[in-house]
Amino acid sequence: MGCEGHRAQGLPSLQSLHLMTVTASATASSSPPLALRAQGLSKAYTLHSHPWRRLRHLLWRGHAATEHSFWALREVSFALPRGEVLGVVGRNGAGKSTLLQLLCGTLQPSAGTLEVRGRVAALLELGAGFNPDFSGRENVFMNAAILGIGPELVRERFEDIVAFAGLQAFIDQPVRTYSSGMYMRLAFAVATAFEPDILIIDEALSVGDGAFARKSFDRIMALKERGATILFCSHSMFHIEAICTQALWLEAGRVQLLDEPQRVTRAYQAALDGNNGAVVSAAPAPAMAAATAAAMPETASDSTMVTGQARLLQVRCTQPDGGVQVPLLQSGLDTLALQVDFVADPLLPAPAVGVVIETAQHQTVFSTSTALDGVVLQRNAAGSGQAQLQLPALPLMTGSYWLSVFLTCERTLHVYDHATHCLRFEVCHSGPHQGLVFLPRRWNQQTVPVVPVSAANGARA
Amino acid sequence: MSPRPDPARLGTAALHWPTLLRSRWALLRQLLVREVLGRYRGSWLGLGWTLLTPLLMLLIYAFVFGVVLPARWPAVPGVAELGLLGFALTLFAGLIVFNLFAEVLGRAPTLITSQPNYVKKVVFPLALLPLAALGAALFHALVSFGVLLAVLGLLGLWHWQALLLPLLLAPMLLALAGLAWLLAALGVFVRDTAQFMGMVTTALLFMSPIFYPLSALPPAMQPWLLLNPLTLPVEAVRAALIWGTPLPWGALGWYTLVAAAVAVLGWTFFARTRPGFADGV
Repeated sequence: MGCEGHRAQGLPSLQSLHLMTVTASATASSSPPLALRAQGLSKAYTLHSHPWRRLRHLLWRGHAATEHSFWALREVSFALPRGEVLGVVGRNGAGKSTLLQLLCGTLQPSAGTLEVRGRVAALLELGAGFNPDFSGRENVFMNAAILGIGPELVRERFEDIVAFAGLQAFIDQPVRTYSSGMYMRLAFAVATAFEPDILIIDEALSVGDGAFARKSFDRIMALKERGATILFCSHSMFHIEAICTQALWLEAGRVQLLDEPQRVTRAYQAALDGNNGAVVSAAPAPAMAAATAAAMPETASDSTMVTGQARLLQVRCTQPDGGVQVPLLQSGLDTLALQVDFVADPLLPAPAVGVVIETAQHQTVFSTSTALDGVVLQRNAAGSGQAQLQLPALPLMTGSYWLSVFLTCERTLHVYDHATHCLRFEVCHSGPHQGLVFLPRRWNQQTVPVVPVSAANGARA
Repeated sequence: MSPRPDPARLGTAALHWPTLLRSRWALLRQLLVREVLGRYRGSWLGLGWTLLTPLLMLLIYAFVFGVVLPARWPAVPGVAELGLLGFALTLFAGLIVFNLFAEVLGRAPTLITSQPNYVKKVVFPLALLPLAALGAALFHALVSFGVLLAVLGLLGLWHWQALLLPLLLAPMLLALAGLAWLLAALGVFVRDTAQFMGMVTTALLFMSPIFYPLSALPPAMQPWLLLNPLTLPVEAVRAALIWGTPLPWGALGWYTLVAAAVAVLGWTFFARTRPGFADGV
C-alpha cells in the first residue's frame, strides 16, 4: 500500500473535478488548506403530486417553482481544513444523512455551494455499485472505474485489496455467492485502497465484525494519521469527543451549534436530556438510548453477543451474600464490585474494559475505562484476562441503575464486544437528600465578628 | 463562487477534461464488457446466443415471408438465382439493422430505473448507461454482420460497397444515442414508456422495408415510409452488402443532420432531468 501517491493524485474523480474551478481563488486567500467548505448549503425535497409535473418542473425550472418543498437541510455552512475531523450529531431526521449524501455527491444541493477538495471515499453504502452476477475481481475493477481510477492503478493494487479483504480464495466467484460480511470487506477494501483525501463515515468507525472490524478501524485511523480529512456522523458522544477536532450539531436541518467537540456534545446532550423526562419516561427511543449510552456504537444490545477476536466472557457483580437477585447496595457503605472476564487474541494489543453506569432513564452517571485510568490489563498466554472494578462506598443515591460493559481497543475507540445494560442494581440511601450522587463535601463554619459599617469597604480588599 | 456542476454533464469540468474523458472511457469499456458478457452469464451457450438468436429468428421469418407469404422482391442478378437462400440473406441484412434499433429502444426506458444504486448511492455518470446499452447492441449487430459477410463471401457475392458499412450505420447510431438518452430519462418519470416502446418496436418491424423492398409499396406511400428512422439504414445496408447497388448519399446526408439534432435533443433532455432521477427511481 501507499507507494505511489503521485498517480493516485493524478487521477481526479468526479469529486475532485468539480472543485477545480474554485481552487485557484480559494487557496490564495485562506491560510490552512481547506478540504471541505459548505456555504449556505441547503437541500429541499420537492413533493410533486405527479411524476409528469416533476418532469415539467425539471424541464422548465422556475415555472412551477417549489410547490411543496421540504427543507431537509438549510443554510449549513462550515469549513473543514485538511486533516481535521468533523463530527456531526443530531437526532434522527435532523438532516445528517442528507448532509453526508451532499458531500458524497449522490445528492445535489438545492442552494448554496459546496467545495470538496480531493477524492472522497464514502463509507456509507458499501458495495452499492457491485453487480452480484460478476466476480469479485470484475467488481473491484468496475467499482474502481466508478471512482475514476484507471485499470493500471487497480492492477497494481489488486493483490493488496484482495489480501486486505481476505478473499484470495473467492475473488473469482460471483459476488452474489458472498456472505454479507465478505461483500462488505471487499467494498471497504476497494473504497479505501486508493488513498482517499476525504472520508465520509456514517456512525461506526469500523466495518464488518471480528478481526476485520479492528482492521478496518486501523485503516481509517491510518488514513487519518496520513492526513485524510474525516467527516462522520455519530450518536456516540464519546467518539465525537475522542477523535473530532470540530463538531456540528444539526437540528431540523439547521446548524444549531458548530464548535469544539466538548461544547457541542455537552449542549446536545443537555438538549436530549431535557427531552428525556418529558418524552422518554416509559420507553426510551433507541436513538436516544444510543446517544446517552455515551460510550460506544451499538450494533445489537444482546448481552451475550460475541464478536470476533476479542470478546467478553462474563460480567459479574460480586456480592458478599452471593445472591442472585438484583443487588441492593447501601449508599456510602457498600462497595460495587464488578468482575469482567474476557478473552482477546494475544496478537492484539491489550484491550481496555469500559464501564458505564446509567440511570433507569438512560442518563449516563459515570463512565470510565481501564485505558482512561491508565491501567493495562494482563492476559495469560491464551489471551484470557479478568478486570475487576471496585467502587467503594458507592456515592449514588436511591434508584435503579444499569451497568454496561465494553471491551475495546487500547484507545477505547474501537469496540470489540459489548454487553449493554447487562446488569441492574439498586441503591438506597437514608436521609432526605435529593439528586443522583453524594458529592464529597465539607462544611466549614466560622463565627463572623460584627464589623462596623464604615470598616466594611476597607476589609474587602 | 460557481455552483457545483452537475456530474451528469460530461463536458462541464472544462479543466482536466482529457483525464475525465479517459476515466469515462475506461468506465464505458467496463460497462460494455459487462453488458455483453453479463447477458448470457451462467448460460450454457454463453456468447453463442449472440449468433444463435438472430439465426433462429431468420429461419422463422424466411419460412413465413419466403414460403408462406412471399413478397415481391426485385430480381437482382446474383441474388435471385439463390432462391430462398438469397431471400434469407436479404432479410437477414435488414433484420440485423432492425434488431440493433429495437434492442436499444426496448432497453432504454428501464436502464436508469433498473439501477437505483447508481442513481442514489454512488456518484455515477449515468449518461454512460444508454451508451453502454447502445454499444452492446452494436456488438451483437457486428457479430451478425460478420456471419452475413462470411456467408456472402462463401457464395462469392462480394461488393466493394460493403466496406462502407460503418459509414452507413453511423448516422443511425447517432440518432439511437439521442433516443436512448431521451427514453432512459423519460422512463424514470413515466413508467409506461417501457410498455409503449415494446409496441413501437413491433410496429417498426412491420412498417420498415425488412420483409419487403421499399419499391414494393405504392409510390404515393414510399415517402411516408422514409419517415421511419429504419427505412433508410435498412435500404442502404442491403444495397451495399447484398445488391451492390448505388447508395442514397443525399438522403443519408439529410438523415445525418436530423440524427445529430435528435442526439442533441436527447442529451439535453437527459441532462436537464438528471437532477430529478433520485426522486423518480
